[in-house]
Amino acid sequence: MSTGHGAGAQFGLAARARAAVLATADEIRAEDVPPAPAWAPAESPRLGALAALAASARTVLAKAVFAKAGGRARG
Amino acid sequence: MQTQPIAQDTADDAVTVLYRAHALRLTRLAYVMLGDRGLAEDIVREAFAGLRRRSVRRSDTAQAVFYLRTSVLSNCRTVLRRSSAARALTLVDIGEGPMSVVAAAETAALGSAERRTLMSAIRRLPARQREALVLRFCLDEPEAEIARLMRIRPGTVRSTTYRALAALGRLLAATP
Repeated sequence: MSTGHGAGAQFGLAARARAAVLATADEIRAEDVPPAPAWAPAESPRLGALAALAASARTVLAKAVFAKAGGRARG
Repeated sequence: MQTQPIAQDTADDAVTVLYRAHALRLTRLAYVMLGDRGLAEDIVREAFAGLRRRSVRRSDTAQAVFYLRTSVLSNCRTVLRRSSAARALTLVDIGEGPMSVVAAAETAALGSAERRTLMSAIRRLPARQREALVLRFCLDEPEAEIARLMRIRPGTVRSTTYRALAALGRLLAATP
């Protein structure tokens, strides 16, 4: 574990890191966030691509499960 | 004219109350994790849409907030795993953002250059270490809650945070 000097240095670093994180978080101001949630599905192409990827993985998995189940039924 | 069942309206009201209480903090958390304002907003929007769709008991505020946080974290992890997002992180300019509205004295004392250097180093930490640090600083929750969100033991949160700070020190020392 750390020595007294090391612990002190790490404490100082933690305080600076915390300050940096909080200052960065504060870049998002209250007025930047819409006052009410949008219920429409996310339109973002970035998240849309993620959702498509997840859906594709689910389809592949489902096909594999059905194929296995079918094989068992035939066997 | 009523277009939705009354039960759905009530559920929407409950989610709206949660949104007003937690959307800002969640957006800030996602922004610190990703360094991308648009992605952070998308991820938070998706978390609330998920809460609305799912059978999470919206009357149980603690459970709903836990769902929202885990949803935001999970989507942040997914984005960070993508190499394109990793490249975007190096492009984001965190030093030229708008002035903080609620800057505490400690954050005001930190110069923008130092903040940029620190955030750049934090974002180069291994994923779990970065997550442990950001969650502790952003959420200001007890270790047990961070552990629950990260699905690890409280002792592991402590040791991961310790290792994160040690790695951060090494990264900063290696920064010219």
